[in-house]
Parts: sequence; C-alpha cells; structure tokens
Amino acid sequence: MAQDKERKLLKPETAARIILYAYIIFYMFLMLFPIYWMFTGAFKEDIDIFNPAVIIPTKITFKYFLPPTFDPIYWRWIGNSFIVSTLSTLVVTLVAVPAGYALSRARGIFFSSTSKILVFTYTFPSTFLLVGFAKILAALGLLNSYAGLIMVYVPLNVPYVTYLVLSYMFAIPTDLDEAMLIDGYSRLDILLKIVIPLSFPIIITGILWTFMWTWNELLYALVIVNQKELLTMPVGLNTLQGGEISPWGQVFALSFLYTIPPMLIFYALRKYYVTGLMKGAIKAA
Amino acid sequence: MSEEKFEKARTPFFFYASVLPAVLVFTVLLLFPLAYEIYAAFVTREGTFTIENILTVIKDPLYTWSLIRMIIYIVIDISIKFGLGLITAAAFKQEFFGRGVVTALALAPWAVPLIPALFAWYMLYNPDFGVINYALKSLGLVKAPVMFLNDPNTALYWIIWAHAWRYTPMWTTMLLSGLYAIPEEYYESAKIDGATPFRTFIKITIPMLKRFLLMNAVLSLIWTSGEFASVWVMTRGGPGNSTQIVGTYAYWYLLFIGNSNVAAAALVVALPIIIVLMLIFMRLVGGRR
Repeated sequence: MAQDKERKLLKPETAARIILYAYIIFYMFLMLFPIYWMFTGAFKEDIDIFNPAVIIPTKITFKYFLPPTFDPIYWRWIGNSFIVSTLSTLVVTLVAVPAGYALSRARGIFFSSTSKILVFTYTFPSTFLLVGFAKILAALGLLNSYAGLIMVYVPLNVPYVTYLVLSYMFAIPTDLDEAMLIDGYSRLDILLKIVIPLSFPIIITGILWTFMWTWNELLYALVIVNQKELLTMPVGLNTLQGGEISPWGQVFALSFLYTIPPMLIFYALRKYYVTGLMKGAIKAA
Repeated sequence: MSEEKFEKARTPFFFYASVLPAVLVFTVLLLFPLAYEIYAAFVTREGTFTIENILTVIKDPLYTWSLIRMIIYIVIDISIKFGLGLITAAAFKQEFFGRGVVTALALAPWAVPLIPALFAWYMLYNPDFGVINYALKSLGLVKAPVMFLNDPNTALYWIIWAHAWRYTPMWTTMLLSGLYAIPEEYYESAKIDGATPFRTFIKITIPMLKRFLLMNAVLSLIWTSGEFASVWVMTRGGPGNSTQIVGTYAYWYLLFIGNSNVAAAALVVALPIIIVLMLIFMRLVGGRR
C-alpha cells in the first residue's frame, strides 16, 4: 500500500526537472518573441502588421526593402553609422591599448593617480555631460559633422576600454617584459610582439564594446546632427517612427538592416566578448 | 647595474608617451565639458553670475518628479535585471537538453540594438493591435484593452521593463560566471550537512558574491541614471509628462525650449546623487587593495 502511494506521487527530482524546463521555455519565449516580432514585421503586408492574429505571416513581401518604399537616404544613414562607429572605435583602441599597457606596468604617483581618475571617469554617466559638450561643439562649429560625433564618442569610451585593457594586462606576468628588455628589445617591441598578441581577447572586447555603444547612441546624435543626410541610424529610425503616421513596415525593414550587422559580429565574437567583459567584472571584485 | 640605471632613465618616457593621449582625452575632453556645464548652470545668457537657473529647476514640480522618477527607474530596473538574471543563472547552471544552443540564443536581446528593441516592445504594448492585448483578450483575462504606455500611471514601468529586458541577458551571464567562480566543494559539503538549496543560497552564494554583486549593481545604478533613449523612443516623456526623467527633461529644455542654461542646471542639480553613488563604487573597488 505504502509503496503504491509513493509511486503515484511525483518524485521531487522529476518535479524539479519539470519546473526547470517550464521556466526555460517561458524565459526563452520572453527573450525571443519581441525579436521574432521585429524581424517578421519587416516582411509582412501593411494590413498584417496591424493584425495581431497574424503571428506567422502567410504572405511575405520584400517591398519595404525596394524603391519606392525604400528611400535611398536610408543607405546614407547606415553608411553614416558605419563611418562614425568605425572611426570612433579605431581611435579609442589606438588610445586605450598603449595607455592600458603603461598603466599596468609603470610605478609612481602619476600613474597610480591616473588609474584612480580612470575609474572615476569610466563610471560617470555620459548624459550628464550633454549640455557641456553641446555648447563646446557649437562654439567650435562642429555641429552637423562626423567630427563632432567622434569628438564626443571617443572620450566617452576611452576610460572604460583603457580600464578593461589595464586589468587584463595586469595579469600578464612582467617576467616576460624583463626577459625581453635584457635581450635588447624596446618597450614598443614588447608591447607589439608580446603583450598585444597575449591581450587579443580583451582588445576584441574593447573594440566590440565601443562599436556597439556608438552604433546604439541616440541622445548625443540627436543634439549634434539634424541635417537629413548626416543622421546616424538611431536618429533616422527615431524620426521615421516619430512622424504623424509611423510607416511601420519601413521602420521594421530598416531596423532589420540595422540589427543584422552587430548581431552577426556579436555572435561571431561572443566567446571573446562575453568572457572579456566577465573577467573584467570578476577581477574588479 | 649600469643597464638598470639606463633602463630606469629610459622606460618612463615610453610610459608617459603611451598614457599621454588617454590622459588628454579624459582631462581635456571630459573634464572641460563638465566644468563648462557647471559654469553654464550658474550664469545668465549674457554670462553674468546667477542662481536663477538652479532655482527655476528646483521650483519646477516637473523637475522634482523627473528626479524622483529617475530614482524609481534605476531601482526597479536593477531589481528586474538582478532578480530575473539570478533565477535564470541558477536554471542555466543545471544540466538540461540543448543547453549550449539555449544559452547562446538567450543572449539575443543583448545583441539587438536598443532602438529596434524598443520599437518591438512599443508594438507589442499597443492597445489596438498589440499582441499582448490580443493574447489577454483571447484568454478572456481582460475585457477592455490594457493601456500600457498610454496610461500615465503605468507607462514608466512598461518602459523600464523594455529596458531591463534588453540588459537581462548580460546580467544572467554575469551572475552565471559569478556562480561558476564559487568552488564546487562548498556546495558539496553543504549538501552533506543537509542544507536546503535556499539555505545554501543565503549562506554560501550571497556572501561569496557580495562584493561582486554590489559593485555591478552600483555601476548599473550609475549608468542607468542617465537613461534617455528608452523614454524618448517610447513616449517622448508623455502621456502628460508622466514619464519625464532627468535625461529627457534636460534634453527637452535644451532643444525644445532652447534654454541651455536651465538644461545645464537640470543636470547639475542631479549630480550630487551620481557623485554619492560613484564614491560608493570607488570604495567598493578600493576595498580589495
């Protein structure tokens, strides 16, 4: 009797498995459904976009990607985003990597206080510099230019990337440096031939971080650029959606084109990026 | 001996030269805008000293509310990211079918740019043709559509959810790597001693991860305090200014009212809160040395 009763009851392990699978399915649905909706929206007929019963579109259209629906200026916006993000990322990397190396190796009050200021600057939230930057760029005549955007994006990203590089290079033993110095190599040789190759994962992380940050940036881009030909994608999308009647088909098509490149890069470099950021987070603690 | 002396005289130059661009970037290009902004907050358009801008901001109930909403925003946002992230990290640490694919796909919101992600939620929330209302109505859970972003009492919370949704995968990953950093033996000996999973969590997981969690939570509070995009894209601060936060308030004063001095004051008045959080963060970082 007692045995029968026990057999009928769910074993605690089985119950735990059911809860685990139920939760994972629920969570994945929560994470992926909005993305599914956004992607399918780019290929639905206008009437289906506004019909929530059409979960799986039966009629697929590519008209939002083709003229006349697809305005050629959208290519300019994508191009602007590419130019600004790539140049900013390049400058940030060129500034942050040598600085991270020097700060991980050099001793003395100047370098240790620089490291302290570094932590303070990378935590500072960028929005709180908005008016200062806007007034300076206006005074320099840099509104409505790539240079204006890059002049803001570079300083806002250098501190965090330098910090990431610094904490990664700190863990590389200095014995290597010393051995090479004795062999007559210069510090520059050591940086280029030993330290940079060893720090490859974190440099990738820094590049991806800056690229994603600038690719997403809305607030400064709204303030700095208002000429239609110079808009970056976040601002372009925002003006497109914010009009009297939102052309949702075009908004989703353009969102699709804007989402695919960073998504591919993210998944291609996921191993470096995720572990790089997590190492930074754990090492700091 | 002589080589060592040579070395000492030579290396600093390379190090100074390497750090110089970075130092210039964050002194000239960051401290200068900050100084200029603080200056702008305390002068009139003509450049004479005044505290009128600060008073305008402090006396404006909309500003007070923006400040309160900023705090509500960052606190709820971190609670969602942390809570959902921790439950998911605990689930992802288990063995289950398709684990590799699932954990990779779960990162997707993090890879999607912010603005399209906000558009997706904007559409899902819509009272007339949003899927959430359609599902609720089909299941018979509601009679009238839920207003989500159109209801001044709830709009802010739905914006926060959309924002937290995008950053939850990052927190899940962070918490998961935190959980992996705890040696397995601790859990095993707790199990042998007959500790319940809940007790293990309170007595081992939380204390071991305390500084790690605190640091990242404080950093998230600081970085989210300047939030702008989620509100601007989804409601433009509406309906009826019910979702204005400090970032949108300053932007609105700068571009729509065209008074950069009051906009500067709006940011400067909120600075003490940010500075306090930054000092807490510095203490947590400094604590390990």
